[in-house]
Amino acid sequence: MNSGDSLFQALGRWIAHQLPFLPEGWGPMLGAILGGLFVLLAVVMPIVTYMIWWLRKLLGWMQSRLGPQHVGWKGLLQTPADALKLLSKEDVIPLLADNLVFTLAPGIVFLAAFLAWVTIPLAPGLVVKDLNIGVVYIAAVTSVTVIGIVLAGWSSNNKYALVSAFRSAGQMVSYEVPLVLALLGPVMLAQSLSLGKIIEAQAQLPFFLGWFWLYQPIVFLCFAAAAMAENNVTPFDIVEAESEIVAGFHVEYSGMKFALFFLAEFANTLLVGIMTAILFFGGWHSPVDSLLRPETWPGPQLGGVSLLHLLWGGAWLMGKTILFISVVFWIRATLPRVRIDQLMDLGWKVLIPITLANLLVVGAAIAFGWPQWVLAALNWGILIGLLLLGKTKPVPQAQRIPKAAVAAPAEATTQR
Amino acid sequence: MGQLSWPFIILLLLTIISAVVVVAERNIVRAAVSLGLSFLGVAGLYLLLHAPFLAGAQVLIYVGAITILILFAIMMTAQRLMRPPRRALETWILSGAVATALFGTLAYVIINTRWHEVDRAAQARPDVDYVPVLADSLLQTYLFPFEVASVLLLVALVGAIILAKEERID
Repeated sequence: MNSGDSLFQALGRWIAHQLPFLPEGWGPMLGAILGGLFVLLAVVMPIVTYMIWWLRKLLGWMQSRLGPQHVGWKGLLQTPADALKLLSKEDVIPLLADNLVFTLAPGIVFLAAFLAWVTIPLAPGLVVKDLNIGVVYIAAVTSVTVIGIVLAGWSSNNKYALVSAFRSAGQMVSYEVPLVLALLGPVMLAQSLSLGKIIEAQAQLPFFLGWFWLYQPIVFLCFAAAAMAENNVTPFDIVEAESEIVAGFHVEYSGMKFALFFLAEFANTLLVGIMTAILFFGGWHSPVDSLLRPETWPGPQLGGVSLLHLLWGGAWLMGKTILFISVVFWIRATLPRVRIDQLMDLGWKVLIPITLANLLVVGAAIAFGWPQWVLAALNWGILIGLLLLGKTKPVPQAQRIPKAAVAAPAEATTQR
Repeated sequence: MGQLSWPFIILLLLTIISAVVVVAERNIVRAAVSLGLSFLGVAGLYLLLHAPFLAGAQVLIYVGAITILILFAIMMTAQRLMRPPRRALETWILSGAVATALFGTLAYVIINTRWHEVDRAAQARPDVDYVPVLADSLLQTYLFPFEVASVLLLVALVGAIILAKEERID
């Protein structure tokens, strides 16, 4: 796990240097702890808080409403107020629940959601630890979430929660395969599993010509779909489906434990947004970086990077992330929930074959040394071809519902 | 290195205690969770051995997928959830024999491995990125065993599908 000194490692070393009574080797550990606290408390938590506000505002506007507007200016204090309310609520544990597992489950989900942030670069040089297995680490840590969800659903001793646990296990295990296969696309192009190196690999060409979505548009779409499914976001939210199984696995949870599930879910959405920006859209690089050359900017240095560059890069990465999150929210406001058989069909019969075929194509491109534009042309050709095909031959949506079942209620209403 | 380090002891205790809980716990869901914890401890041991990729794969596959499948299977057959398992004499003898054989094999391998040579090789290059090394050995040096294992898994997969498929009366 070797990589350049990050800002936090440098900070930890500096602190250890100031305090000579600390034992050997404590510097990097202190740096990691401080870095983790910084990322959690100063970056993820505030963004998640205002993501919730932004979701409610955006959904409101899309549905001709105003969204939260009474608590604070433009409703900006609504989420902190809700959080305080949740903190002050009574912590109810159902009588017949499995007490230990019931208490453990939200902790597992929360921990899994926030551990991934260790290796996420937030700006040039601003990362707790750029692991050289970064992508594997994130896939591994986020896959633990489902254990928490299944345990929450089972231990609640509630039939809706149990149904949700079933659905969650089926959905997560199905979509983890295409998700990991889709992650391999950018990894193979960058020839590295480290997120920092994946970002750098996208800055090889001027403007945005090196960004991986140009070479992997199909896999980008697959990644987005699989990540949203893994994250239980509408239209893949059959795990939480309010109209069928109330709220699913967290139906029995209240107060702080519910807040942990809620925070973890939004932190995961944020993770999807930032991973999209990092893997496919050049990370902290802006389209004009090749003209402005921010890495040569003067000014005070922080962890080997100029402060101006750090802020500029961080702002671009955050901007892209917020854009993708907004798209996720937009989809949430637009699409209806899929049925479970549609969900399984999409995962096993569409996403897995496509991502596997992509592995073959990218592998061939690397092995035979095809120029990059061939890969891009191939990908865009297939994508546009598929879109045109889909246009001329509409997918039969209601094929599986027997005609009688659809016709009967219609007749009933006309007779009335 | 030489002596036992604190992280190693903690991970060892985590792995072994949760493995014991897997066997001793009557509540089968809790036993499955404990199994996941034991897998996590093993992942931690891989980390200590400078094999982060292996640790990541361990968490991804064993904790994230195998444990989930076990939990899923348990919940699918939930009607027998609380009944203690059958503990007849022949069960004891059979499982004891299998466990002893497994233990003997592993002990033989562990005793006969020249650990100091492995350790020296690792000490010689502590900062090497082992992911490409692992990839080369899996996909070049040991390509044939790797592919045989893949075919074996494929056969198991097809077999499971055939077993699980309902008989259709045409």
